[in-house]
Parts: sequence; structure tokens; C-alpha cells
Amino acid sequence: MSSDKKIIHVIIFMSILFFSIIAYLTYFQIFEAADLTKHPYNKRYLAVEDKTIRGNILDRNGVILAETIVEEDDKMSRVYNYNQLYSHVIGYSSKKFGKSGIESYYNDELLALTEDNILAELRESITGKRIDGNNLTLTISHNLQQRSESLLKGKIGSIVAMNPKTGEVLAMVSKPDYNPNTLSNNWEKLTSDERSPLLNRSLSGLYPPGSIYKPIIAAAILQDGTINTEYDCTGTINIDGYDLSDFNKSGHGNLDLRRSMIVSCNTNFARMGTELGSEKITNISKKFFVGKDLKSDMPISKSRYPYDIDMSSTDIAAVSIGQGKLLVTPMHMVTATSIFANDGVMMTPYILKQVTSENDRVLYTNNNEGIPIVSETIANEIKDMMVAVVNEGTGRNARINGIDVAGKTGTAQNETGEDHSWFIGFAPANDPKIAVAVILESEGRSGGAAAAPIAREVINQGLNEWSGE
Amino acid sequence: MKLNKFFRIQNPIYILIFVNLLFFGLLFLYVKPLDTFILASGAGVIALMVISYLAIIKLQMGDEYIFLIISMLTSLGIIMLYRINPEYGVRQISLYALGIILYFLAYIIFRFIKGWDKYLYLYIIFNFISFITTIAVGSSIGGATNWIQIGGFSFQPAEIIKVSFVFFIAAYYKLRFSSDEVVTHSEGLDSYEDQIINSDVNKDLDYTEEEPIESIETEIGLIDTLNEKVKNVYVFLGLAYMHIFFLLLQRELGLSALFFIVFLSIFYIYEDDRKLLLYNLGLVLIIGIISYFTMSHVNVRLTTWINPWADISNKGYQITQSLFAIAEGGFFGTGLGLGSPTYIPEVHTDFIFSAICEEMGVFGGISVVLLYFLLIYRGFKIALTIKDIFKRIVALGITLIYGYQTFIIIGGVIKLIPLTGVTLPFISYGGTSLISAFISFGILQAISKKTIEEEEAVILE
Repeated sequence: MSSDKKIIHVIIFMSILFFSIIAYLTYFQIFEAADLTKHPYNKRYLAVEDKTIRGNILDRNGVILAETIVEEDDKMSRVYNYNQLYSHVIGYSSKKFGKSGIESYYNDELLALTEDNILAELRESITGKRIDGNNLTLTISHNLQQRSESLLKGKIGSIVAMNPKTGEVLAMVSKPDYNPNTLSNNWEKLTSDERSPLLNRSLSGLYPPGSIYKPIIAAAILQDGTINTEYDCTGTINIDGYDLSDFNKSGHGNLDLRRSMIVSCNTNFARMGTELGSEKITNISKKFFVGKDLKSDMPISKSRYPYDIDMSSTDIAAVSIGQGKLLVTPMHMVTATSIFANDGVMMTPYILKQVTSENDRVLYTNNNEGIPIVSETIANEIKDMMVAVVNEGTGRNARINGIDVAGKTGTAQNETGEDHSWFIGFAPANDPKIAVAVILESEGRSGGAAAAPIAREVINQGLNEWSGE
Repeated sequence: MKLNKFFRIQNPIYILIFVNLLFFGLLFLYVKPLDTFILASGAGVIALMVISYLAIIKLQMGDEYIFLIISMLTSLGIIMLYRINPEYGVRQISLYALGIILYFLAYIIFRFIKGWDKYLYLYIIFNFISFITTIAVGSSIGGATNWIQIGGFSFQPAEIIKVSFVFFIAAYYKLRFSSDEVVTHSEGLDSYEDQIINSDVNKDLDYTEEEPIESIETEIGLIDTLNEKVKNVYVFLGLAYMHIFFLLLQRELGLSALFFIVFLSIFYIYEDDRKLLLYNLGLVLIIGIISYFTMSHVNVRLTTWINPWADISNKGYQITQSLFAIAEGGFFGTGLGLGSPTYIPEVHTDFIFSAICEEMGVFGGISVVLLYFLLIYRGFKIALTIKDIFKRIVALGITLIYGYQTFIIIGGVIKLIPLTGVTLPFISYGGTSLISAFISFGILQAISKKTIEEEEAVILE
């Protein structure tokens, strides 16, 4: 080969190198740059914060929950008007510790970092005046949030309340919590606290559901229609050589599906579950988004359903009573409950009602579309069973005079040894306005005893608030 | 005729004048309080460019585009440096002036002193003495021991060795291919291969013979036998690897990679032994693996390339800041003076490309890449038209050095390849590298003049 020809080879090689730079730069700009401009370590992004008055955060009725105050020396400070009350809703925004909650999910809106804001930026660069951020109105009701927080004081756990017909989150409390106004003084303590006060249990706490999973299993049984629901409960059932015992060890006697729900009979649910088989149990779980990502404007941890289609009978039995390796979040459970309150249609939960600019122009309004999960008939049948649970079963502590409350209790065994106490429910049953999920972590008492009275208070407060509407 | 051509409106010098007027004007408005010195500097840079260009055209000094392209790149550098820190900008302007002087000086010296191809041993001795001196008395800046200070003046010998390294390779092949004798190979190679190589070599020889060859018989016997030894390809390889080894000792990763790839490219062009080429690649792979495990800075370079985010506040800081800057610029840039390139440490030297991308956008960055591409395209074109093997390799070597250097540093700062510290030719702030670049391209200019003369001679015939 002549040297000329080989020089051409080298030229081609060099051209490829140069072309790769151009191609990579283009690729980088299209696919990677957007994430980097918002990277928490990007000082340019922090510089934007200094140039912008971070927007206010309000509850659904206009109560200011968080605001930015520009002091006389031109310093800005973020003030959370209700201290720890909204620590797991609004979170915090700190240069040192980063961001969490609404401050994190809706940072761009609060800083008015939207594409149509180029003019404002230009004005800012010329006049040196700060840009005003956008204000956020949440779906949260301040009164309900306050009541829920006071009910959970001193406990570990979570309360989530939502409007089952729209998916609006009305209250979201997680305990223990922290005060975002004094974050820098307490940071060390908060991060080293074993009870994880920085963890939002409503969205990220993964718990075994226990008996509150039974309405979902009941939906599968009703859908199938071939399972004999009549059963004589003796207190234990042997599945593949493994004895599964009931909460009530003496046995419930003769019962059908409705009765099994009312007394929360583990043995009959385990039997019906194994008869249904792994495929149908798995299908109904997936249908309810268990083990799948639940879409929302908040980051909800994915619930766990770590089984494939060939589950053993003992696995099926465990899942049928909400145990085994099954793990769910309180937000997921209130959403699932709402399906039965909303004629079988799931409304995904959301917390941002609307975004308005500083001159009160509405920039964004959330509109949520429902996803059909089960038929209206099945949803209503389950609803009736859940009303019976509260009227005559394990959920009696959630009863409210003159109003039909639907509910289901759960007492979930877990590795701490102390049972988690669950309650899910909604009311009024004929026209549901509020759905709640309550969990008390390692409470050691049954859901009916510990969680149901709290849920009752939350529902009561919610209904009082909306009776005028 | 030539003057006529100059005044045609599409002449690229007008683009240069326009761009400089625009950028210095912007800079004047950007720096507060208003500093008329900026306008004076701009006028000075434009005057330097125009006068030099006129000289190249009128004195028919060969290729008309090389100087225009490097002036464009340098003035872009001056503007960015001025924007980052006016002190750097002012110093870069004086270096530009010095660079132009040395450009023409290199042109004159290379053209009027004959016999550059005969000083093979001088180049080798010069290079090794420079290396040893650097290691012995050099001071360390930025992790690499590569600076020599004489009085108040400090410079990087490695930048100068870049030129003489090319001369060394060129002189070696000149010596080997201009001799009538069979190239001596080690006994390990089989004779059949030898024959193929030798016949190819002889073909290459045909057109080099018109150049006056100093006949070996006139040399004294000692040089003669030395020549025979050096002609052995393994001795040559050993000498070339010594250069790379010395650079590694100075912890100059970027330059050693650069020297190696330039050497290997020329080796590929002029050696027909495929096996030997593969052995070289294998050897470097082994050296690379060994240094990854034994030299911590090699290890760091590689791990921060694979995932700079893991140690973002420390080892990955510089590269991530560079990526932030490029991301900020988008396609069209924030505009001159409106970005924050100074967040990147050492932005004025190795990371100047990221600053350009931030303020002039990825399109600005791509334009710079294309300017370099045009520059090396001119270089290759000159190399291809040259017949004398020494000049051809010098032209090729200079082109390859600056082509690969551009790729190594741009690829590094955009995280396409691991980051190694070399300067961006003509744009980065840095005395020695700027000056050695001007000298190198002055030599290329001189070689290009030769080509045109020869071509004209051919036409006349």
C-alpha cells in the first residue's frame, strides 16, 4: 500500500474523531443537558434561586402555608407558617440540605423556570430586579391537616385523606416529623434519629397491608364467581402442611364472603385465595397497581408484589390475607379504597390544584381522569360489605351517628413483632366525600382498636367541613 | 492580480475582521466601567491580522488559509480570555503578537536553512536533554512536573519537544528510505516478509530520489555504522518509546498519549509490517493496564470519566462543572458575558472549550471544531502534495499533533474520552503552547510554499 493511500486512512480516522465530537455534543445537548441544568450541584441553578422570589404555597382555601420574605437588607428567607405541620407535604428548600416535598417536586414552578419566562429573565438581567416565582395552590385542606396531625401526635405512622371522586389529597400526615424552619439546627439529630423523621411514610413507607387487602381479594372472588364462599371456620387451616391460624383462634363458625369480611376471617380468605389460584390473585393485584408504579404528581414508592405466576399455595394464602412479601404504602391504600367508593374507577392521587403567576394568572389546573378497575356492581358489593364491617364487624370504632361509613381494619404482622394497626375507609357510603387510610406503625393493637377511632375523627372532620358545600 | 483578489468581498479576511469587530464591540459594552483599552486591543489584533495576511499574499508565502484559520482561533481565544479575566486577554494579545513574529521567523529559518533532514542525532540529543533537564530542575504545576523556570520566565519544554519529536521521526524515515541499502531488520523476521517490505520501500524511494541525497559514503565511518544501527526499526521504536516514557515520568498523560498516537499514525503510514503495528498497540494496552493499577492519577482519570457523579464534590468536580457549563449554553449559548464559565476551575487553560460552549452555544463549539478540521485539512493537503519524505512527514506530523491534541482536549472536557490535560491549540491561555503552535504552523507555511513552487515548476515544464 502506498503512503498516500495510508495518509487517506489517517485522514478518515481523524475525520471520524472530529465527527464524533460533533455528534456527541449534539447528543449531549438533546438528551442530557436538561437534567444537568437542574442538577443540585449546578451552581448556576442556585444562582437562579438568588434571582427569584420563590412562590408561595397555599392550601385549597387560600391559607398561606409557606412564603418567601424579602427582608430589609434584601436577604430572602423561606418561612413555613405552620412549622412541622406540613413537613412531609411541603418539605423544605435549603441551599445546604437540598429540597424535599412540594419544594422539590414543583421547584421549577416555584421559581417560574418555565419556557415562557424568557421575557422576565431579560427584564431581570437589565433592571437587576428579582423575578417573582409562581404560587402553588394545593388540594390540602388546612383544617383537616391540622386535625389529622393532632390525632397522630406521639405516634408513629401516617394518615392520608383524599377525595375518592377526584383524587385530590385532602390531608397527608406522617409521624414523626420535623420543623423545616429550624432544619439547620437539628439536621444532625434528624438524620441520626432511628425513627427516620425525614421519611414521608405516607408516600414512601412500605408496610404489609394485612386484612385491608381483603376487599381486593374479595373483588377477585366476585369477578370469578365460581368459588364456593360458604365455609366452616375452625380457627386454623392447613395449607400445604403449613398451619394458618385466625386472629380469633376459636373459629368463626359458618360464614360466607360477606361474613368473612365482617369478621375478617383469615382461614376462609386463605382457602378462597388458594382455590382462585395464583393467576387470578396476581391479576387482581396488578389491576390495583400493586407492584406497579402508581402515577401521581408526588413520588409514591412502588408497592411490592415480588411473586411470579407460579406461586406456592402458602404464598397465595399469605397474599390472600395481605401478608407474605406483600408491601404497600398508605397513599396506595387510600387510592385502592377510593375505587370501591367511586363505582370501580380509580382516581390517581394528586396534590397540586393549580399554579398561578404573581399577577394571579392561572398557569395550570390539574384535571384528573379516572381509570376503570372493577365493575360498578362489584365495587358496590364490596362497598356494602365494608359498610357492614363498620356497622357490625371489626370496624365498629369508626361508626358515626347518622352516616354510613365503609371501612376495613387490618392488623398486620411484621418483623418488628408488634403488629401494625391499619384502617381504610370512606364516607358517606351513598355519596362518598372522603376516603382515608390510617396506619399506626408497630402499634401492637388491632386496626379496629387503634386505627379505626382515628379514621373516624378524620372522616368526621372532613364531613363537617364539606357539609356546607 | 493578487491585490485584486484580496479586495473581492468574499475574501475570508473580511469575515475575520467582522467577527473581531463584533466580539470586541460586545466585550467593550460588557466590561464595566467602559474600558477603551478593549477597543484599542481589538484594533491592534485586527491590524496584526490584516498586515500579516497581506504579507502572506503579497510575498506569495504559500497557503493563504492556514494563517487565517489560526488567527480566527486565536482571536476567539483572546475574546474568551478577556471575558474571563482581562489580564489573561491582554497577555494573550501580546503572545499573539510574539507568535506572529515567531511564525514568520520559523517560516524564514525553515526555508532558508537547508538540510534539516540531516540532524537526526541532534534532535534525539536535544529531546532527551530537555526531558532530563525538566525532570531534574522542573517545577510541578497542576500535578505534572513539566515547567522550567529561567529567571522570571517559565516554559514547558514538552511543548517545544512536540516539534522536534516530529523532526526526529521525519529525519529517521528520511535516513532509512534514502539509503540504497537493504533496511536492516532483526533476524527474528522471516525473509519473505523482508522482501515484501523492501520492495515496497523501494517503490516509495523512486520519487524521493530527485532530492539531492547526501551520499552515505561521504560520511565518516562511525556515523555510518551508527546510521546502520539506528535504521533498525526496533532501535527507532525504542527511541520513540523513550519519549513517551519520559512524558509519563513527568505525569503528562495527555502529551504522552498525543506523542504515541502521532507516532503510531506515521508508523502506520510508513511501515508495512502489520504485525509490528499490532505489537505496538498491544504494548500500549499493557502499559495502559499496568499504569491503571500502579499510578493513582491514571486510575483517577479513568474512574472520573466513567462516573464523575460519584465523587462530584472532589475528583469529579472539574468535569461535572464543565458539563454543567455546556448544558447551560444549549445550542445557541447564553451570550458573551452572560454565562458563568468561571465556575469551572482552570477554565482559561484546559477548559476554555466549555466556556465557549456555554456562552456561544454548542453551535459555537461545533464551529470551533470545524475550524480545526479545516486547519488540519489544509495540513493534510499540504502533506499530500509534498514529495520529499522529510518535509512530508514534518507536515504530516504537525497536522497530526494539532489534530489529535484538539480531539484529546475537547473530547476530554465534554466527557467523550477520559480527561487528560493538554491545551486547546491557539485558544487556551498559555505562553509556551501558543508559541510552539505558531512556530509549528510557520514551518507548515514554509513547506506549503515549497509545494506551490514545485507545482508551478511542473506546470512550466
